[in-house]
Amino acid sequence: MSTKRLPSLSEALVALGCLLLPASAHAQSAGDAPLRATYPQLASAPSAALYAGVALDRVTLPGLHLRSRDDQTLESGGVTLAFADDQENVQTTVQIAVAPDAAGARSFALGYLRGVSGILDPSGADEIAYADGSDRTLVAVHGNVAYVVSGAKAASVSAIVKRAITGGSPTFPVVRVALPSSFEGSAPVTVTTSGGAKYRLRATGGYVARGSDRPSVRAFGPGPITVIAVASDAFGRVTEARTSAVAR
Amino acid sequence: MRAVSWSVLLVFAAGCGGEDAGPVQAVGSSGSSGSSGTVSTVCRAQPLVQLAAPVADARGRKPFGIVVDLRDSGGMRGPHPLKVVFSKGETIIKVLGDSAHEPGPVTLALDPAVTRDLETGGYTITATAGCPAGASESKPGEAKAPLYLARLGMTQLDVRAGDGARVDLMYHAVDKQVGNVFPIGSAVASRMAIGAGEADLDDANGALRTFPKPWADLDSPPVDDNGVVVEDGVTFPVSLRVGTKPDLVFSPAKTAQGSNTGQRLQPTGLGDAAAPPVRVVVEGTPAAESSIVKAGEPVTVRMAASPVPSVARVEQAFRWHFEAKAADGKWSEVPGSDQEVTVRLYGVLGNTQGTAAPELPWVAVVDDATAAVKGTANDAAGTRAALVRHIYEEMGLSYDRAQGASHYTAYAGSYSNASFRLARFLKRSSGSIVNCSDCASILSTYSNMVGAELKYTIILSGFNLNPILGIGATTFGSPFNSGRLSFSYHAVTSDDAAATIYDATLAVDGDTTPAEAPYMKKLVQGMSGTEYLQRLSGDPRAKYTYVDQTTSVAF
Repeated sequence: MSTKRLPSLSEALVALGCLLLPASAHAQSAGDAPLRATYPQLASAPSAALYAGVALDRVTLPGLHLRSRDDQTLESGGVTLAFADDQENVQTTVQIAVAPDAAGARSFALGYLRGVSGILDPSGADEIAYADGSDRTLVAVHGNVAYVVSGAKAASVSAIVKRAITGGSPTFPVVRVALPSSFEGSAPVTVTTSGGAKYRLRATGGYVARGSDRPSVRAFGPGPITVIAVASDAFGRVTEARTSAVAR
Repeated sequence: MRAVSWSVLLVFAAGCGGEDAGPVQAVGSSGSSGSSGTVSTVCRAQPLVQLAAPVADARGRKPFGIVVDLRDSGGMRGPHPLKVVFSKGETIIKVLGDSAHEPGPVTLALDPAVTRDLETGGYTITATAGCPAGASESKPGEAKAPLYLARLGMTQLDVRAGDGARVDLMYHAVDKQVGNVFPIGSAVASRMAIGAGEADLDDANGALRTFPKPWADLDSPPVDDNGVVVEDGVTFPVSLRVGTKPDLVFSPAKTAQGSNTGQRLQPTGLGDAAAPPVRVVVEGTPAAESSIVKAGEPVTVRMAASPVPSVARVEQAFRWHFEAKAADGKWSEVPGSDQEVTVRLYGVLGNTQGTAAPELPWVAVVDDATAAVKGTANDAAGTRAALVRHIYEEMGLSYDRAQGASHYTAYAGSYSNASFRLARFLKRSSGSIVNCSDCASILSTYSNMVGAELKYTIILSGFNLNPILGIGATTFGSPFNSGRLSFSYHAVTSDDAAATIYDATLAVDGDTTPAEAPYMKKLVQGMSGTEYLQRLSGDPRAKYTYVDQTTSVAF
C-alpha cells in the first residue's frame, strides 16, 4: 500500500491524532533534467505572491455543468472539477492545487507535466503557463496556486480560474479526528473542522459507517485501525488528518 | 433428468392370516371378458405402497408421489375399493384416495398444502383394499408405509478453495464513500437473511425463503440505514483460480415455521434419530455418502468439475436437492426439495497486484477484466493479450490528441512512482481521454488483479515516432492534433523487464516497413521489446529507461 510522505511537523501532529498540514513541496528527481529544460519557467525563482485559494463556486463554465468534484490533498492531485455536457459526458476538467507556497505549486505543475507525452508551449495565460496549440491543455502557476485545464477553450477557462483566485494567505482547514484508543467491534468517530470545512472519512483495517447521528468505524477484526479525514473548504484548500487505534 | 427410484417401504397383508387357498377359477361365470371364458371370483386384495422417498418435505415445491400397486392374488378382476390415508398414529390427517380401481398401479399424491403446517416427524401412509362385489371369496388387504415428514433446505452456501484457490476481492467503497474498502475474501458467498426469532426456512409471512440474487453493485456492498454493511441476504461474487474445483459448503437449516399445534418454530427433523438419513446432492457432481445432512452442521461437497476452466466471468447456478435413504439402502430424491443459487464466479490466474487495500483486487476491475477475457485464455500471456484488446478496442477510450496528457495517472517525483486513480477511472470522472501512462496503468492493474503480472516501463527521452494508430483513432499517423510525430516519453507494460511488450495505447504498423504506408494494424500483445521499438519509433533515442516499475493504486 502506498503512503504519502508528509512534513515532519505534520507527522508529529498526526501521531497525536490531531491535525495535518498540507505538504509544501514535492520530491524532485534528478531524472527530471530534460523536463526542467523543456519547461524552464518552472525552474526559475518562485514568486513570493500568496493567495488564499480559488473560490470554487466561481469556477463555472458556460454550457457545461459540474458533474463531479473530487477533493484530494496536494500530493494526491488537489481538487478536480469535472464539467459535463447535457449527456453527462465530461468535456472539461479543471484541476486546482492550492499549496502553502509558490514552490509547492510549481512542483505540482512539474509533476503534471511529467505525465504529458507531448510538449506544451509557453503561454501568456498566467504568471507561468504552458499550453498546446489547439487550446485544449493548459498548465499554469499563479503564486501558490497551480491549475490544469483539459478541454476546449482552455485559455478562456484559465481566465475564469484566474478571476476566482482570491487574495489573502492560504489558511488551510484544521481537522481533528478522534477515536477511543482501543475498542471492540465498532467505535464512534469524532471529527471537528474549522470554518465549516466539509470532510470525508475512510479507514484502513475497517470501514466508516455513516451512523444515525454520528459516524462510527467498524473493524474488520482485531488489530490496528486508522481513520483518515480529508477536509476541504470553498477555496480548494485540502487537509488530511488521521488517527489510529486498536480494535480488540 | 434425475431418475426417481420408488421405494417399497412396508407392506402388510390384512385378513390373510388363514390358509391361502390360492386362486380359484370359476368356469362359465358371467362377466367374462377373456376369450377363454374363465374368470376368477376369488379376491385376495394385496395393496403395495410405494413412496417416492422415505422422507417428504412438508413444504416441498411439488407434490409427493405415492403409488399403490393394487394386486389381487386371487386373480379377480374388476374395480376393487381402495382407500389410502395419511395419518399420524391413530389420527387420520387426510384421505388421499377412496375409490374403486382395477388391479394395477394407482398413482396418488400428497400435496404440500396438506403437510405444510404439520409437525415434522414420523407419519404413515395406509392403503386398504377391498374386493369387488360378486366375489365368491373376499380377503381385503392393507399395507402401511412409514413416511418421515421433514423440512429440507440450506440457509447459506459458501464457495471455498477446494483443490485450488479462492482469491481475495474487495469493494472499493462502502455506502458510496470511495476509499472505505470492504474485503470479501472470506465472506460467505450467499446467505439468506433470517431475522431474529424467525424460522431459518420460512420468512415472517410463512413463505419459503430463497437465496438472494447476485449483488449487482460492483463498487460497494449493501448497507443498512446507518451505512453498516449488510452481509445477510446477499450473494457476493467469488474469485477462483482457474481450474479450481471448489468446495461448496452448505449450512442446513435448523428451524422451520411452527406447526398447526401452536409452536412458533419447530425443528426441521434432519438428523433426528427416527429420520432416515438424508444427503445433499449437487447437480453435476456425483452423490456421495459423505454428504449426509444434519441440522446446523455444515456439509461440504467438492464439485466434480471446475466451473472456471479459463479466465472468465461465470454466472454459476448451483442447484442441489436432497435424497433420503430407504431401509434397503437405496437413495431416492425427495420430491420438491431442490434449491438453487446463482453466484457470480470469476476465473482468475491469481493476484499479482497486492494483498492489502487498495491493491487488493477490486470487484469492479475483476468483473470487467474476466468478462473481457471471456474464457479465451487460461494463461498469463493470453490474458494480457485479451486485456490489451479490451482496453484498446472496447472501453471507448481515446488518446489525448491535444498533448498526450495523463488524466488518471500521476508520477510523484519521478517516473518510478506511478499512482493510478482507479476509482476515478472507473467512473470516468475525467472523461474518456487518456494517454500512455493511463493505458499502462489500466492494463497493468487489470492484468495484475486477475493474476497476469505486468509492470510498466518508461521509454525516454524525446524520440520520433513512426505513424501509429492511437487508441480511439481511425487512421495511422500522428497521435496529436498538431501532426507532430514524437513523444517526450512513452509508457508501456511488460512482464519480463521489457523483453516482451504489451501496450494498449496504440497499434503499430505490422508490415515490413513500419515507417511508411500502407499500414497494417497490429496490436501490441506480447511483442518483443526490440521489435516494438522498431515499429514504434526506429529512433535510437527511444530507450527503455524506467524498467519494471510498479503502479500503485489510489482512489
